[in-house]
Amino acid sequence: MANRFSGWISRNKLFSCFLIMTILVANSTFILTPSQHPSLELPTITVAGKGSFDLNDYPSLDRRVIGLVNLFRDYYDVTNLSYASVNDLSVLPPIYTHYFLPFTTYGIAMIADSTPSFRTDYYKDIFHKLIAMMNSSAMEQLEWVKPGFTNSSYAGTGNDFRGPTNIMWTGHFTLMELFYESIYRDNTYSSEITGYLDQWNSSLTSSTAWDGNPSGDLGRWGTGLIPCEPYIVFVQCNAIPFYTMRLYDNLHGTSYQEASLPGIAWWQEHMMDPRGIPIDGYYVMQPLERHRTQGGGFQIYPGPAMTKGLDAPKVSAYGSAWITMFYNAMGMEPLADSLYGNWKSAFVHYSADNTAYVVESYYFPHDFGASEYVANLFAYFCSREMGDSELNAKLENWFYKPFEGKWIGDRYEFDTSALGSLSAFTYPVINFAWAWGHANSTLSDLMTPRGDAFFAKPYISNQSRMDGLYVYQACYDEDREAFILTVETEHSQVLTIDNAAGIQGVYTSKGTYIDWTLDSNQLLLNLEPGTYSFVII
Amino acid sequence: MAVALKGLKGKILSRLRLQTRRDALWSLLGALMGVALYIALSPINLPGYKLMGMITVQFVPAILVIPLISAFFGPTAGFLGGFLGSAGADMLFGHQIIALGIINLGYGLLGFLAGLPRYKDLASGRTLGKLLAFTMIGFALLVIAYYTGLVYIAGQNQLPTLLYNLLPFATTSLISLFLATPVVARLIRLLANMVRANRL
Repeated sequence: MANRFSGWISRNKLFSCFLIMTILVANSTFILTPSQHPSLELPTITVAGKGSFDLNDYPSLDRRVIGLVNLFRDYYDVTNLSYASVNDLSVLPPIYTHYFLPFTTYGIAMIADSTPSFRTDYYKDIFHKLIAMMNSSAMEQLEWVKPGFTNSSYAGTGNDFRGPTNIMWTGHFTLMELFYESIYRDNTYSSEITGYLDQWNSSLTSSTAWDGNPSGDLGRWGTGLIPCEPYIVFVQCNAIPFYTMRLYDNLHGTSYQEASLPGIAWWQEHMMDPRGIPIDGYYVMQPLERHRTQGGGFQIYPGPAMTKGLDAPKVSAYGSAWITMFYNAMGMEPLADSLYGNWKSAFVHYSADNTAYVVESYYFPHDFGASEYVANLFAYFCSREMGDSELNAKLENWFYKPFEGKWIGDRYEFDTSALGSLSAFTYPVINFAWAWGHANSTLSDLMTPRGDAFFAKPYISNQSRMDGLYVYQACYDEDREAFILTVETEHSQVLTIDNAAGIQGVYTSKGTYIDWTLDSNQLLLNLEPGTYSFVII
Repeated sequence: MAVALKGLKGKILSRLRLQTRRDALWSLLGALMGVALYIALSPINLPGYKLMGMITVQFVPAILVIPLISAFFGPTAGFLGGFLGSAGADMLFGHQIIALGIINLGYGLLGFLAGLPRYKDLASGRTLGKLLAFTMIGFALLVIAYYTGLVYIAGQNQLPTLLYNLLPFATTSLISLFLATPVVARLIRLLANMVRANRL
């Protein structure tokens, strides 16, 4: 037998050799591929007198999103609010640094909004840390001093970093705070929020322009928009305060958004390029020297920013994706749909192997650098916000192709170390983008805050930094008066649910769950390691 | 001269397995099998991991169909199976036909090259080695078509093409073609022999 076998092997040396190699490599693909947890299977739970609850009808979070939040928890050292820590911007991408903090916060807001009845310090700490970093001296240096914007840059136009000439910083900062207020119904930042809203309102409704001339109903800058860099207004930067005004109005019944209407009409009339793309900037005054040269001699003022070296308005896939998704979230769907269609035909390129990518400017379709990378990031967010799952999947295929997602303890991470020094930029971007892209909420959802009554209903209150807890679903169904909860715990623990005075029973798909106690207003749910889905009545 | 040309034409048709109606029908049958198998196997996504960052170690069953069809049915079947199979899969599964279809043409060239020699005995190491060598030449043409299509026809920048497209594509394809082509070809031959011998 052995002789026959060895004889067969010697007659089939090449085959045997390749067979062994194939088996080894194939085996390695099964062994070395990072293990991913199986997809969450949500049951239908029947409660006597209440009927059936199909938990698939309620928002839930992917385990990997929670793992990425756990990564942010450690990466940003979120409970450390010391001066040194909030001024340490080294963990942020070295370029687009000031944008990264607010956009990370918006992603966290969507994640927190996916489990709206999980309101503990766990997510709150991240908000507080990112807001503190945005408000830090280091960020102020980066935003104000490092680009070389001096007092003379703003001479006569209202010179203040935190004032009416910096809509980018004030807009983002205020929205970061307002998302926190909206999701947690916590007034910690309310005076700062109203301070900036009033400042924008005053700037936009002023009938006198910065130069003393009448401005009609177009405010201090004569455009209905507010600059962020000296002398230039951007549609995308103003989308942030305009969104903030509407969210604040929805929360408090005010009418700040009226101040945004002239500007929205103005840019559609004066800042559209021939392909229906919002132009990337409009100079309201003579540009600074370095901006003047960017237009390659074509720059005029007042007038649209020009493409470097071309007699054509400047366009940006990144800026217009940002505009599209925020205007869609503001409830201006027809405008957003039109912009999105134009944006897709202008910037999206389909590539091999079911991938797609965008170019930052259709005048330079072969360029690839940081701007193009960021454009693809915003294309990924925008396609998701616009419900274009087909393009979103192609962009994700492209964006994540080189990176491996893996679990390290309770953290999920995309390893970008193969990119070497570029990893300082790609690591925070790639990881936060996936979390944003897979949250179960959108900017449009965040625009409709929950009513006050929701905050008097049961919610998880104190599992602040319990390692090994994954809250996939936590949502109070106000119509059916039921608390929907799906959690996984790696350790035995007691889950505390507040506002629980009226709780009558805890139910699973297998029947009644009895391991809980009611302590005054708190329900204490005893959990052994495992995954649980509950309907709590 | 006319005789010489006729002889050359006959040789070419013979090499393409189109000399007789029977040959042509077999080539067509092989092409149809190739297209059907390529499309059927395209959605299969086996586990894969990144080695040293961006080299993806993964088996892609669909691409294996092309040299195997070539080995058993000849270059015409291989070419049509690769070209139409990949294009059909792109269209059916919502991918775009890009770069004027030159990448699909590359798949066709892989099949064409792999099918050019005659493989009399796919049980012998020498023949399997020949199949592997011609498959690798075809693969090189596919990589050239892939890169040319993306960079010079579709106008993609070279760096992202390399990182996001070519490296993952080329490494998975190379591993699948290089390792599994001789193995699966030999196994099919073994299976066919067993069927012929009525042992199955």
